Amino acid sequence: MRIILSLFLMLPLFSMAEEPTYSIWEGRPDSEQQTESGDGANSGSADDPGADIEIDLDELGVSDDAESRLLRGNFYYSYLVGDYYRTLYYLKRWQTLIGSEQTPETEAEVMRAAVYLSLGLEDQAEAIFYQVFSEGGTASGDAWYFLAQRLFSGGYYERAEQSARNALSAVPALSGRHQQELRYLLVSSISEQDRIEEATAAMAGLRDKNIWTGYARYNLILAMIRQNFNSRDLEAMIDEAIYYLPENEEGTALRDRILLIAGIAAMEREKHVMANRYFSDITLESVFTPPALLHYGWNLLAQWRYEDAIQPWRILQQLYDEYNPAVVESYLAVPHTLELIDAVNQSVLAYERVEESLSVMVQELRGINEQESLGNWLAAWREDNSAQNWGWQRQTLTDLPDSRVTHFAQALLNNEIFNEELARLHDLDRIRADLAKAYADLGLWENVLIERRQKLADLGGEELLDRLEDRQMDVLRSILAVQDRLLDEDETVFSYASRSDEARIERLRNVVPAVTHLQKIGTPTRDLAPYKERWRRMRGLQLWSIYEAQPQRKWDTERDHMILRSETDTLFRQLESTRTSLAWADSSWRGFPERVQVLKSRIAAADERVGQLQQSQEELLTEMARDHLTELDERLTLYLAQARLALARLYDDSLQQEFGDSGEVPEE
Amino acid sequence: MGYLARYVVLILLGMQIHAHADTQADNSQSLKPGDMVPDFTLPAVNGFGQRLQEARGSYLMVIWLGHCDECSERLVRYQLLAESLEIEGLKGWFVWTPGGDRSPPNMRLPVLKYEPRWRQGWVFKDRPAIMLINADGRLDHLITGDLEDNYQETEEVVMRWMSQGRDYQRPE
Amino acid sequence: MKYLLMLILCLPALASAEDAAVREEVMSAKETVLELNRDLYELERELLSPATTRAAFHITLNHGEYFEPLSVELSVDGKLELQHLYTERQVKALRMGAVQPLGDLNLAPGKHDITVTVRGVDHQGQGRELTITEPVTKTGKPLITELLIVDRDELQSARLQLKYW
Repeated sequence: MRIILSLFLMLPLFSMAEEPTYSIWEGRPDSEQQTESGDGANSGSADDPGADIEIDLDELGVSDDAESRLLRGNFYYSYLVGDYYRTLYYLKRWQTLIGSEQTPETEAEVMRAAVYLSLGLEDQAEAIFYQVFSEGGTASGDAWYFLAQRLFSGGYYERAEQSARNALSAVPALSGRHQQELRYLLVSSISEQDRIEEATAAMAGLRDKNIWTGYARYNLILAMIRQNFNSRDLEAMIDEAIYYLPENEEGTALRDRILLIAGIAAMEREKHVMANRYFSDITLESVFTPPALLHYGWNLLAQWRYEDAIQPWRILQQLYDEYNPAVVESYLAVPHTLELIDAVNQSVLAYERVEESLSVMVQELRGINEQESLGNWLAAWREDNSAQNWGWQRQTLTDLPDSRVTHFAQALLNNEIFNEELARLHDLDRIRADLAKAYADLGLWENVLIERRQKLADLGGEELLDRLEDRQMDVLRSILAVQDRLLDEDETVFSYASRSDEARIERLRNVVPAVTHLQKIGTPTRDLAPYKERWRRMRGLQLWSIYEAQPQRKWDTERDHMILRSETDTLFRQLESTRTSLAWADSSWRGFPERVQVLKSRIAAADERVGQLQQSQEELLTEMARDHLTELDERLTLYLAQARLALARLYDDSLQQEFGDSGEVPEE
Repeated sequence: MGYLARYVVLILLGMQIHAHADTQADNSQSLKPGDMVPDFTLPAVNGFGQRLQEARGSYLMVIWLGHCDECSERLVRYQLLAESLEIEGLKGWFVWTPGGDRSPPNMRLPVLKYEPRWRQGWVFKDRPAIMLINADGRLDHLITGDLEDNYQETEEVVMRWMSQGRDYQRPE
Repeated sequence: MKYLLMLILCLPALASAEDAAVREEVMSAKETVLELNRDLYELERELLSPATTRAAFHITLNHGEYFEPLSVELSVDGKLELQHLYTERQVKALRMGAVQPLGDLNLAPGKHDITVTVRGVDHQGQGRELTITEPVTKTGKPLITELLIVDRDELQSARLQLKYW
């Protein structure tokens, strides 16, 4: 019915200016822009990820290509600005659009690997890199460099070496600022595999006066020590390493470190004089000072320089707290040395002091080496780092909180494996927090969806629209009636006569019977001719005035009719839009509750899995800490026993001497 | 009735935006040391805009200017301080708030401009102030008060902060 | 002493077999979480802007030799809807040919007037403003709009172009 009515409206009714040609039932008007679709030639080369990606703008046009192009562009954009989560999202959409499980382009695949790398998924990243590599594609030097870095710190030296070599030969080349560090990674990963000559050869690319060279030399020295290398070469390497280090905090720390291991190595080879030289050069400001002082003392002891040996230990005990591992080791050293130089009284006093300290420490240690306090210690650290993100977004993790446990576990905290496990626990914590937040967000969305559905139902949109439509129909009918009248009007004699005109015509009409009657009566005195004449004149005038006014009136009427029609048209369009909106409004909730449920259950499953990992990680760390503390307990107890034994021995010797001199037998 | 369409679609969809509202509805912020600094993007009067998120990984000194009308002279020392530590990884930004006929300072470092119409930005309430934000995006130090009076203290704090704070992963 | 030596030198120990298994599990968990994150984002995007009402806006920079954008503001029917401030890194990404997703809006069916103003600097460092106003029509399908900042070599300037599907 509506269609018929509208078609009716569409008919050109009057011969006047052109009517608009659109229909209220047609969709889109004329302004849609169409462009030619050209070749989708994206000239970004496979071996040039992220740089100089060219897009041919003439390619714009057909929906599919355009959307694909845009998604590809979105992917690159999010990668280049560092929004890595969005990068994976756009990649998935891009893949979905082109109907492929694989990444469409090689450089996009490399970027995906780089994103995984940044998010802490080294294994997956490496697998992708190697796949790209084996298929003849290349990743950029920087990408290989980042991978090499991660692999090296993970302890995978062979793979790190391979990545480093790939980085050096990659196109586009490695950025200048990473060159030195990469060469350090190469040299160090070869050193870790104990291939000294190759590592030495690989040193060629490193600049002498650079901290990375220092670190590379350090790792090489370690390898040489492990392999019991020729001492002259080793000494030369040590001297060279120390000589070229930069004069800053980092350089000083590295220098001390090299001197320490050199000294220890020399000690073990019984080159005590050389060891002295190394130890004495260490500063008193770095983290390597305590072990250096300790070993210095041992070294001097080995040379029977007893009095000299006590010096570094005293300094050690003065500068550092009693929980420091090196200090703990030195406890018995001092009184033992005093014994060796026959300073018995001092030795006794020293042993007594040591015995007292160790007793307290052992007591304390036993108190804290239990599940609860270790758990609290970890918990405090986890709390401290709760604002840090996981994976690539994490910058640094804070140190463990300053507590009794930390003091005792100083040695453990230097253990790389422990730190790695700790970082892993942090990551798991953060992941769980993210999952919990996502779950809560989905809960909020569920409420929103219920609200939307409810609101739509309450609106009663359909009924409202139906009522409005009925009213529209009435209006339309009235208009059609007017239209009919207008059509008829054209046929009438007195078309477009106004009311006053009609009244006058009516009066004229009414005069006719009266005149006719008078004519019939026909009295001689009645002359009807002037009346007839007047009537004809009146009629003529009236006709003239009607016909004169007719065009204007016809114009006005038709114009008003057109305006009315166009208003109705607009109203119909509006009605249609509103009906469409109502249909669309449904899409704001339809299908979503199910999707939300699916995601929620996935999150719950992931959360459970991560929870289990978290639990086992926590247990592992607590176990490691407990083992360490137990071992420390045993050691301290041993030292305590040794101190007590030594005291007993000294007292005994002293008594022996006293009564031996006097020849008396002590009273029972 | 023309508005019914918009009402139906937009109001309904507007409901959930409340749940995920932009947390910077109130454009001024009040922070204390230890807080994570909310991300912002502000335009600069002398170059590209700056986004806090992009400065992650570097140490950042943000100087919130108070009443500043071409106050370049007062800020020269801060600029020199930031530039001298640039090699150590320190970045420095000024944030200027326009008002009346005031003109921004003419500096080499980025001078960001806070304007309420840019919803990606916010302004610090207690200006003038100096914020020292570490590589993780956390506010480490906050020094409020007159910039000239506080320069000495700022310099000391910055030097100490830079020498202590660098805890990046060292190679083995 | 050897123990101390080991501790001090922090020799990176190779992961044990057990540790490798845990590591793999954690990696796998991380990957799952990444996928979840991606799917969540997709769902959220559709919830905020369902396909039927969605109008997505993208920005591309063609070469950018004569114009560098610093900010963009987009209005629909006179109301400011989207805005963005550019950092150097983002402009660099645009120059490389990447496409910036400016944002999604919800539009009612029918005709709308889109006005976009991009402020920036030209190749001589002078401040410039590019503006465009175009009508678009929203149908039941998602509206994809691209704003192009195109160089005009002959005039050594740039102009804005709007294309939509």
